[in-house]
Amino acid sequence: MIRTEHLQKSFGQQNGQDLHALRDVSLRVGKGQIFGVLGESGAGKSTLIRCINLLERPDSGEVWVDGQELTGLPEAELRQARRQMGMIFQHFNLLNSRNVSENIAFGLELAGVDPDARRKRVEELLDLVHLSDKAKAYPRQLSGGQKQRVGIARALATHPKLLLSDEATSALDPQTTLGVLDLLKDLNRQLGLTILLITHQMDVVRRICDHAAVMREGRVVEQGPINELILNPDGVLAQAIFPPSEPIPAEAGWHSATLTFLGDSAREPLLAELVRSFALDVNILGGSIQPVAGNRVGRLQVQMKGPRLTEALQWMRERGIQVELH
Amino acid sequence: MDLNTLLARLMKEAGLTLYMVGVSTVFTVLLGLPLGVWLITSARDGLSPRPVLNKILGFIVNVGRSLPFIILLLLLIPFTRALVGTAIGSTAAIVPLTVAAVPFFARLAENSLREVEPGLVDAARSMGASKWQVISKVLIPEALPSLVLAVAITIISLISYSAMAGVVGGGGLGDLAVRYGYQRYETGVMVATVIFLILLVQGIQALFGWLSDRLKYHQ
Repeated sequence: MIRTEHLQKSFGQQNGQDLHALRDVSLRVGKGQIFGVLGESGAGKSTLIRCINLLERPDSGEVWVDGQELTGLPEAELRQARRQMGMIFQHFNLLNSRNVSENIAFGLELAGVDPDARRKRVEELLDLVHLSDKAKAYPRQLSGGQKQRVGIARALATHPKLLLSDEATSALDPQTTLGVLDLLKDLNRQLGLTILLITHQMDVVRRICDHAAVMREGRVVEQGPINELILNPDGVLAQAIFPPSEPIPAEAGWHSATLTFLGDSAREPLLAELVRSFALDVNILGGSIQPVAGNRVGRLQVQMKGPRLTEALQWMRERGIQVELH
Repeated sequence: MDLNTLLARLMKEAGLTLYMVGVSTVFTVLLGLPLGVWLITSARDGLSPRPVLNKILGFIVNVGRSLPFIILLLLLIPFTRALVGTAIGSTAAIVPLTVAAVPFFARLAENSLREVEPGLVDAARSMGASKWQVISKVLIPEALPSLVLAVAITIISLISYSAMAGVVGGGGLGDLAVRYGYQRYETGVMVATVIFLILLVQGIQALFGWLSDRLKYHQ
């Protein structure tokens, strides 16, 4: 759905150093994915998402959206292409001079849709984001969560296949954030909407994304399906979810290991079976189970002892458990 | 001057003032608003950056604003004559009034437009808005409450400028006060004119303030 090739963007120099907003960013976002770009402020993720619909022009590189290369398009065609992408913002960016209905109708009006069709579509969208009772309210009369719902409805008015979300929940309180994230997830499922979101909140990625990328200093340092990223013990995302703790030294005769397990294996009585089948002594030193992308991911620090240890390790790896020996 | 004559004269001159100020306000907004839009869209961070053009425009606007009105009035006499056929009378005075107020209002409009959140422009562009649509559907409607106040300030400045229109035979309240109140020592005329002007300015400010509040969309 989205493919960027070697995007570069620089904002000049500061203190003799190049202020690079983007360095050689090549992103792959598939159809129907909820793709999260995680990074701290200044990592370049905002510039990246603004380069996808060319609100910001990259210095070099290509932007492909739904099979179309955008950087070479003439102005009129680019505007047409932008209607295939909705965008929502951290500060909602609703027009204060228009009420909720008029805000939602804005994109349709820009596209020259006739008033009757506009009214019908606005009603559908109000219903979709559960704001039918606020149709005539002005943005200033709405709460943050309601404003973002209007933003989402407005972005979806022209039936885009792709939604770009620029820190859409960063200005919301935790409870409202959950509501908006659930709505995005529903839209992804119901409409097959592809969502590219950028955020500095790990929880956002963990709650709704199935794919992710991590940005640092203008570079994408890792990207892929979340399930894979999490299993990489050295990965940035994995470490963000499971902050590395002090390694606990194994006692004499024991082998210490970190076990990461995903999905079904997180539910199975795994340790019990280890102990039973391989006559292993297992001692749990620490661990947690985290919900990630609708899955449960567990990480245990254990120490193990027994004559059939090698066999046991093999058995665990066959079951998709990531084993890291220390 | 007895009271009846005074009132009749006051009404006549007030009519001339309102005529000069009213017409020049209309022209000022018609010319100054596009100029203000141009100042902001051609800026370095604007919709279609033209930094050199922007500098030149800014320079011209500043020149227009640095000339005292009385001097502008005299300098423009040939231009006025070419445009309206005469340089004398209240219709002729409309030309220098407009020329003086356009750069003034353009700067005020530029400031009003600059206060529109850049995020709103981003949102419109992300929905495929053309530059013209951004200007007509985002910048101007969103800046409207502030633009209305800018018009009020411009009208009040024009009333003040129009006091000098007597120099080119334009008449009006200022001219009345100078010729009767000052040159003929008719203090009553002076006081009446001043009171009328104070009420006029207060009224305009109140009216436009109310209008601006009405436009602020339930803030």
